[in-house]
Amino acid sequence: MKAPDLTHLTVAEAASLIREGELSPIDLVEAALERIKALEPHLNAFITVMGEQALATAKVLAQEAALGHFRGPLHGIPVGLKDLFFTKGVPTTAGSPLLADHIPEEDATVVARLRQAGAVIVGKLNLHEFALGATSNNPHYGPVRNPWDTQRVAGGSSGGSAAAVAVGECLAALGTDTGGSIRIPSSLCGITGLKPTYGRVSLKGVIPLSWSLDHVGPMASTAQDCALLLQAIAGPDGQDPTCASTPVPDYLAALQGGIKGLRIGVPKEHFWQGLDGEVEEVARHALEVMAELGATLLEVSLPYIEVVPQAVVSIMLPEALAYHLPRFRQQADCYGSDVRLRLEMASLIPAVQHVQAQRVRRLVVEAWQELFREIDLLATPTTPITAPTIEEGDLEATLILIRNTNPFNLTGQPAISIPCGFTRKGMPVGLQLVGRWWEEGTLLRAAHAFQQVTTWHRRRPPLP
Amino acid sequence: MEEVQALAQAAGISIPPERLPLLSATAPIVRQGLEAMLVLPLTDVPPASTFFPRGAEG
Repeated sequence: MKAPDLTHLTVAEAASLIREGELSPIDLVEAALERIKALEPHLNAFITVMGEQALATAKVLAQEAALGHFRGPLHGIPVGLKDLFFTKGVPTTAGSPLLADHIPEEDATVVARLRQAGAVIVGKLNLHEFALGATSNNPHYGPVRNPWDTQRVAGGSSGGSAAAVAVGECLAALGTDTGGSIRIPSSLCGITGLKPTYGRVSLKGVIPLSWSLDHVGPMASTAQDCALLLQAIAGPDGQDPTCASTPVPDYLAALQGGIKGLRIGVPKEHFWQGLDGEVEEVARHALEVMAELGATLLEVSLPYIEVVPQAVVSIMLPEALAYHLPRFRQQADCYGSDVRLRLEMASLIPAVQHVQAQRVRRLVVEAWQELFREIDLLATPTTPITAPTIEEGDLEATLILIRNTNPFNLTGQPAISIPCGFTRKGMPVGLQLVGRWWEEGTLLRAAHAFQQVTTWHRRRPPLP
Repeated sequence: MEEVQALAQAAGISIPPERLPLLSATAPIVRQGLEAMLVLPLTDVPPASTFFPRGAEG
């Protein structure tokens, strides 16, 4: 197989070929590196390519495979990391010049777990500066370009992760999600991205944006691939006080069984309002597919949804400023204009507003727990619009892009974005499914069932 | 604009004069959040704890 063919394999397909001795980790990693070399001038998805390290690791993994030893389900799989994850001996910049020379002495917990599962880290991926925005228009490292139309944004903040996966520069990636930063770029770039339940995955060694809203999760072509990655990274971490001790189920087993009888709530307010016409058309058709698969669609209302976005902002910005304050006081000029404005805005939020938002958070979680006794999943378009152009700027675009995703950062519920169609201009549209706390398996099962009868996740961007 | 400058300074942040108009324009939007939340039935609702207590989640 030639490079694009190899790098268009799913993680599950490539892992199976490696295990059967039909594909060498060296060939697969070389193919990914060739793809990076060919496409980076178009996309700018990477900040650091770890070519030599990746090849060295692939050689070791190939020797082990030849002896019948496999480290885990990701043995030999090229994986990219958003440049927020600590990587031992490799710069971790957060997309900021302030951290250009920041070289961690340890891997983040999730990076160590990926390596233990056999993954080959191919590089560190571009992002919205410090993850504080939803376009990945990074003023310091350049904008990440959408592979479906390079004049448009990839979305953010995990934009490099989504763009790289979409074109096969890596078969999967890790992202972080504080207001939608896994799901938004996944939607805009036509891949699958999962934000697990808050506490399911360790945040140790991940540069924070907002401690109580941050989540780590997988981004890949399919729900099955997301299940494989989540299995590798989920679970308790004694070094992270936010990481729960909840048992981790078998996510691959959870994929089976279909969705007949599943109750899917479709919100009346907020999420389906003010949409781009084609986004609504495509997303509603996806709901019809879910119904044809046997799910029951129920119209529902989410109590207090009208204040949820404001509660998110009232928590996120003060937490972000708390992290940045020592540096921001001294070096505000080193921040991009949009990120700088958001941190300055944080200083205008009084303490009482932050506390009220935490009270709203409890009110909302309790009310939505009640709602989720009546439904198994909630379905919404992931974003109200498809990818805006890079020229359109950041501030207004970010406000629109986060509207449907950030409520579930407040509640900590698991949520996934899956490709569900394209506009007439050829831009991808994502469907967001939201589950009960700790029930990622149900989300993955529904997404997998959808991907068994559709081919949107198989489409590839029109790049060489 | 003076109030905005004072609030930022209270956090130890100095706002260059050329940035004040933009930041001042966002202040009412940020504050809307507080007003919107005050109308909710929060009387008996304590703040959510930031993190899940180990072993008690789920």
